[in-house]
Amino acid sequence: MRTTTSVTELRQLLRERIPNTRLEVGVRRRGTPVSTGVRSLDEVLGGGLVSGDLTELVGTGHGSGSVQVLHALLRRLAGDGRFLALIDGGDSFDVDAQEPEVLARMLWVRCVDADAALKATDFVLRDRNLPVVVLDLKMNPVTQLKRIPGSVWHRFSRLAEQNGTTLLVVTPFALVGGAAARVEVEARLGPSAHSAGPGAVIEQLEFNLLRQESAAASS
Amino acid sequence: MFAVLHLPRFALQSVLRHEPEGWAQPVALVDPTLSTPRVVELTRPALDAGVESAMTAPQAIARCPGLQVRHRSIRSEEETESAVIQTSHGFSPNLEWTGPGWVTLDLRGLGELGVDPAQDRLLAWGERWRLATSALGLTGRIGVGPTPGVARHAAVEPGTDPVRVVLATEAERFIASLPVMVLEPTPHVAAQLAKWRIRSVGEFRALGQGELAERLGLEAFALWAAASATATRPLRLARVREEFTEGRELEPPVETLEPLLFLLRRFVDSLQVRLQAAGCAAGGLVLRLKQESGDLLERRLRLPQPTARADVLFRTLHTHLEGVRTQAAIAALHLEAEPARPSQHQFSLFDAALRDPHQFQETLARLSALVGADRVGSPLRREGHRPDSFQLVPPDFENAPALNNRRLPELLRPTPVRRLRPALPAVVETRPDGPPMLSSGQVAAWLDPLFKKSSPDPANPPAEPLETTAAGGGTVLPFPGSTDVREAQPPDPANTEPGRPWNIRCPVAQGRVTVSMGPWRSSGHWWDADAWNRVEWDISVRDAVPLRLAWTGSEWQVEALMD
Repeated sequence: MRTTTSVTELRQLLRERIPNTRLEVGVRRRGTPVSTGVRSLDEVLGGGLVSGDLTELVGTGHGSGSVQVLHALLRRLAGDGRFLALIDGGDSFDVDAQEPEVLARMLWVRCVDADAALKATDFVLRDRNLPVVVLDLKMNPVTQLKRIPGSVWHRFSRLAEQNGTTLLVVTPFALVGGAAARVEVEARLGPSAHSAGPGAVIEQLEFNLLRQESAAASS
Repeated sequence: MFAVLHLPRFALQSVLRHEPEGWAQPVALVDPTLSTPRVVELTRPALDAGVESAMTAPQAIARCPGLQVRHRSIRSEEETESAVIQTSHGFSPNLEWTGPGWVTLDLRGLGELGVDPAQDRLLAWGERWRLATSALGLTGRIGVGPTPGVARHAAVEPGTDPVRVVLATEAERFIASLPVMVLEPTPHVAAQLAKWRIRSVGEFRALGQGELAERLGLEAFALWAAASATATRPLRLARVREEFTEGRELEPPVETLEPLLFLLRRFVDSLQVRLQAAGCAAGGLVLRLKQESGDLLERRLRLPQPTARADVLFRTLHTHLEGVRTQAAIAALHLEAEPARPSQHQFSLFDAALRDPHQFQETLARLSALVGADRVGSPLRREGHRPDSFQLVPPDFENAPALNNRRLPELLRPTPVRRLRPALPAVVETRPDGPPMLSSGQVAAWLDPLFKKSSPDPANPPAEPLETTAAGGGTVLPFPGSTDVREAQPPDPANTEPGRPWNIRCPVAQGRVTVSMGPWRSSGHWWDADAWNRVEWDISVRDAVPLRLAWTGSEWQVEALMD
């Protein structure tokens, strides 16, 4: 058996045997940020969602405002001429809230449960064609979400990193282990908020950064 | 120079060209159109087992119990003919379908061969043509000669060379050395020639045309022309059909996916050769599965970009078939490639187009198989103002319209909600007076800063949206549905039918309604059977999610949650 005498040789050996592996611990090259269309969220994240990263948006409770973020992101990407895949775990996307030009730039997968949503996300991440993928699990029952093994998130992280895909997962509680960033959105939106329009509602949202992986800025 | 391709046992090759393993087995082809169906062609193992042409099927099976009896298929022969013509057309446009299994090309004027091509060059050219034919699953020999007749004789000359070239300088000697039977005389004339001990074409020609005509009659002229090393003739040019179809009838019918995929792989390999020879690509695929019950399952598979790559075509078919379930076994399989101009695409630095449209198409097919074809795509709202009325269409990102500046003011855009599909039934107690509604002063106080915020810039006024009149009166905007405008209008407190929600009982909320906003009325399609009429309320229940209630005329439903 070959004997390694230094960390450098060990890394070289690992690179040969496990291609595409990431050996640097703690320091990772930071991808290009993608603006979410929500200024306060971009500020919290340091510019926006990072390409190649898995970001979790936790919308706890009722009227949290998570769907407002999702629609703002959709509009922002459409305005930039980009497109997005929405894996809708609870089939709850509001079509009436967006212009046809925005809807034409999204791939919507209407899933019936979390299991189908995870499979669909796996397909879309491996496809590599879509730069931004949103997995919306906010409306899925807790029992379904609790059954998701942690290895799924690890796999999604690796796929997103390999393909440079921006992956946003919307959850009702902190769920995604290994997320590069976890942000909680808070707002007690009531019926009256809907008279104000989405722009004003967005201004009411508050974001708390719960976790962010250290990363080195890309050169 | 001319070249002739000979495909021996053409009818049998047409049937077996997608199952080459059949040539190692005893297979006899029976023509069912004859008054007494008889064996017309057979494989070498069948011949070795004692089966002969013109036997009836029972006679052949008596000789060889393991014999596979296959029926001659005119459709298969036509498809093979079309495939051979399309492929050969890429080698010379002057092409004649001389007969079943016979193709004649006029090589004169071909730039790649020149005026007087050397033998090596002709051999290499012939080998390329033979390989292209082999890719179709066909085995043949090629003869090249100064006349169509010499080329034909070269193609059937006994020997093992797949390509035989006879130059003009050696044509006379070559013809003279051939057995006289290659001239294909009638049995009567053949017997006469045998009686005269005429064995070679050279001996036949030595008799002289006049002497032969006197003794053999008119047939002597045809034989004399066939024995000529210089006589040529104009070719009857074949029309190249723009049809790219491969198919096969399955005996016995197939019940599993693997045999179908095996055949489809061969089909797309053949189609790739044909499409490339014709200089085009497949813009779409039409797959027809004929079931044993007689039902036809037909599906057109759209390709995101025209392509002739067999791998891409096969992946598309494979992904589609993984989600197909039929009621009966498959008795016939046909695949048609719709020809299209091949597309070229160069990505620019800031291009947001799909990197691999074919991969994306395959992913869409996988997603469709996972969640259903009607649950994957880009949403497209239907005409009208009915809430949550849409359909999903295949994504077309590259032609998606740009989000222009004709945007609605923020205030007039509806605030997104989370839809419940299907809507949840709710038991709602209503009262004319109802719970406290936000006063007009409270609403005005709420909206005032927002109106100021979204007031138009005089230097850059927003585009005026078009207005239409709703069926039930009032004004609505064509975009984005009716809810936004209705929310912007103050509700009519006098109109409380069917009553203001007071108490609610449903899976997501239960108890006293603390805040209600509404009613928001809308209707449509009153002129046909699909008429709808609804009253919506946005309500809040203590310690529960704010939600949207709708009275549909017969029941209360929770249609959306506010998030």
